[in-house]
Amino acid sequence: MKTFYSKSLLSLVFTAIIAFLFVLFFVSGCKEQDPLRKGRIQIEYWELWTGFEYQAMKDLVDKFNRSQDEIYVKMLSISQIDRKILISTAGGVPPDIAGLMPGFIPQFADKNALEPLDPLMDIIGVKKEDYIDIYWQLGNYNGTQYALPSTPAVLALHYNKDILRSVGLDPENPPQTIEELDAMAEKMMVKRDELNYDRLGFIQTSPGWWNYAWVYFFGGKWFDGENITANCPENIRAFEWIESYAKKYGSRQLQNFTGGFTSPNFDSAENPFFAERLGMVFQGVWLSNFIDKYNPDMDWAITSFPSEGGRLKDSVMAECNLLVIPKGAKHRIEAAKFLGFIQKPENLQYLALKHTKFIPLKLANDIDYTDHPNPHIKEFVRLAQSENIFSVPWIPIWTEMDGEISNALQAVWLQKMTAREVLDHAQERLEDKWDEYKRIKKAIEKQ
Amino acid sequence: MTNKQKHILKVLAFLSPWIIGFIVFQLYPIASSVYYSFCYYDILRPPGFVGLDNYRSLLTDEVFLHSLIVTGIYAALAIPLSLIVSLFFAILLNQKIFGRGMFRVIYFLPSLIPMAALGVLWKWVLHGEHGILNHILRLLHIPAPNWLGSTAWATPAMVMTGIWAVGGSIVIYLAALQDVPKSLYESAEIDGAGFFGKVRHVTLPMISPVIYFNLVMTIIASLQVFVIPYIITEGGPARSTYYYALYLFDNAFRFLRMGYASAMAIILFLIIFTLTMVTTKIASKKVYYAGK
Repeated sequence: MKTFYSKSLLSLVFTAIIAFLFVLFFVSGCKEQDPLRKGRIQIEYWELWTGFEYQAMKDLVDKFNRSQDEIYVKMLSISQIDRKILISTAGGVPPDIAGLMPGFIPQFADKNALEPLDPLMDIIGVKKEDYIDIYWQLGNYNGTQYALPSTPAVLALHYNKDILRSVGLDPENPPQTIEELDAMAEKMMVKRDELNYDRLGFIQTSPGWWNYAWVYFFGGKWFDGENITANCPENIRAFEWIESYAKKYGSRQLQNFTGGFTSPNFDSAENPFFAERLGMVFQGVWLSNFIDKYNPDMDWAITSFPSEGGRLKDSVMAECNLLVIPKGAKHRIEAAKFLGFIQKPENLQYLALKHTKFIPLKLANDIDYTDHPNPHIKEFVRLAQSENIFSVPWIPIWTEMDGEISNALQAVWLQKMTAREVLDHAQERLEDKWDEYKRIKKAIEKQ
Repeated sequence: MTNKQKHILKVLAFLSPWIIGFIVFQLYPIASSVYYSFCYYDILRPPGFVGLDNYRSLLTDEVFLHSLIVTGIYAALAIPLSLIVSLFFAILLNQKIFGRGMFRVIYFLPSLIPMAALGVLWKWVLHGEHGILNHILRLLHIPAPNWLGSTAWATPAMVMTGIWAVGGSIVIYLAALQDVPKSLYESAEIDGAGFFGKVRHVTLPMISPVIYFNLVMTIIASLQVFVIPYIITEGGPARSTYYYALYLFDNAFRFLRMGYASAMAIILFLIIFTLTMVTTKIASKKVYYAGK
C-alpha cells in the first residue's frame, strides 16, 4: 500500500520529538538563578522546617546572602532530615550545615558523623557563658560541642482556664502534684456514652510524642550515663500512673478519644485541646501558634508539669532545634560563618518571634516581651532555667530506646501488660542493645 | 570480525543500558547486601566482619520473630482477599453493562494514587472518632471499631487499605477475561451451564495462568508490605502492625544496623523464593496453558 509520507520523513519527525523531549528535560532543571549567587562559594543548608517556620529561617538566609559577597547559602526544606544527613554523609556529599533535633546528637557524634565545632568557635564567635545552660548542653556530647541552638523550646503543662472555671476549679491554681493533676482531670471528664468521652481532663497519649518524658516527673530516668535504668522503681511508678489512666477511663474509650497513637489531628481543628475537649496537655512553647490558628479565643495558661508529691519544683522538658556541620562538609569554614551569623542575638530574636519561642541566650531574661505573640513567653524563659529541666535520654542508641519506650507505653495503655512487666521487658531488650553497642565500639577501637 | 561477532556486539550494545543498569542498581546492591549480612556495618564506618553473628542474633530476637508472625497474619488475610476481590470486580467489569468503561476507570483510579498519599488519606478514613468509615458504621448502627487504636483491628485495617488499590490486578484479570474465546461460553451454554457454571468451568481454567501470576505477585507484595503501615500506624499499636519490612527498615535507617538489616533481607528473600517455588510447583498441575 502506498503511504502519503516517506520513511525518511517519519524518522525525521521521530528524531525531532526525541530531541525536543531531551531539551525539555534539561531545560526544566535550569531555573533562573539568584543573581547574588554569582561568583560566591555556595553552601547548602538543610532544615526540617516547612511553612512559616521555614520562611522565618529563609528570611535570615536571604539577609545573610545580602549582607556579604563571599558566601551564598542555599536553603532546602528536607523531610526525615536525620536519615538523609546520615546517608549523604556516608556517601561523602553531606550538606554544609543542617538542622537536627537533640536526640540524634549522641548517635551522630558517636559515629563520627558530625564536625566538632570547638575548633571553629573563633569563626562562629560565641561562648558557652552566653547561653542558657541546657541549650548549650544539648549540642554537647562527651565534652565536645557538635551543635548550636537555633530555636529552643520548653515543654510544660498547657491548660484551658475556661474549662477549669466551668468545673469549679481555680485557673490561677493549676496542679502542682501528680495527685492534684489526676483529681482535676477527673473533674473535667464528661462522658458521652459507654464508649466515648465528650471531654477529658488530661491524658498521656495526646499527642504522644514524648513517651520518655513521664518518668522524669517521678524522679526516674532511662539511662544513668553508664547503665540502662528502664525498670528502676521511679519509672515503674510513672508507668503505673499511666496504667491507672487506662484502667480508670478504659483503654478502648481512650483510643476512641484520641483516634489511636498516630492520630493525624495535631495540626487541625480536631485537636482535642483546640476543640476544648481536653483540659490540659503537655506541650511546647510553639503551641501558641496553633492556638492562635485554631482557637484564638481560648483563655489558656501554662505551668510547670506536676511532679510526684510535688517534689520537683518547676519540672519541665527542654527541646531545641540545633544546627550542625556534618562530617565531610566541603565548606565548613563558610558554614561556620553562617552559623555565627544565625547566633547573633538580633537574628535569634527574629527567629524566636516568628516561631513564638524565645532565644537560647541568657539575654532572653532582659528582653522586652510586650509585643511577643506568645502571652506566656516570660514564664517559658524562667522555666528554661529551672534546675529540674530535663531533656531526651543522652545515649548513642537513642533511636532503639525510643522504639522500646513507645512500645512499652502502648502496651500499658492498651492494658496488654502491666507497668512492671513492660519495663522489665524493655530493660532486658535495651540492656542487650547497650551491650552490643559497647562490644562493637570496643571492636572498632581495636581495629 | 565475523558477521556473527558483529551481530553479538550490536545486540550487546542495544542491551547495554539494561545490562549496566542491572549490574549497577541490582546485582551490586544484592551482592553487597549478602556480604554486609556477615558484617557489622553502620554505613559511616567501614564494615567489620562478624561471621554468622547477625543470623544468630536474629534467631533470638523476639521482635524479629514477632514481625514474622504479624507479617504472616497480614499475608494470610491479604493474599486470598485481594485475589478474590480483584477477580470478582474484574468479572463484573467484564459484563456488558451500561457505563462499563466508566466503572472500569473508577475501579482502577485508586491504584493510580501514590501509596504514601493513600496512607495519609486512609489515616483519616480509619480515624476512630472522626473517620468517615466509622461515621457510616454508626449510621447503620454497626459497632465501629477503633481501627488504628486496637491491636485486633489494625491488621484488618491495613488489609482493607491495601485492597482498595487492587486496580492493577483487576486490569490484568480483565485482559485475560477478554481473551477467553466466546465459543467456549457458547458451548457451555448449550450444555446448560449458568453464570456460575461458566465462571467455574470456563473462565477460571482459561485465566488460570493470570491467577497464578497475580497470586505470586500478591505473595511477594504482602510479605514486603511497608508503605501503608509505615504511614498509617508506624508499626503500632503495641507492634501489632510491625511487619517484617518495617523492622528491616528501622534496623537499616533508624538504628543504623545495616548488617543486621541485610541479614533480614536475605532471610526474606529466601522465604519469598521458597514460597514462589512451592506455588509454582502446585500451579504446574493446576494451571492451563492453551499453547502447551
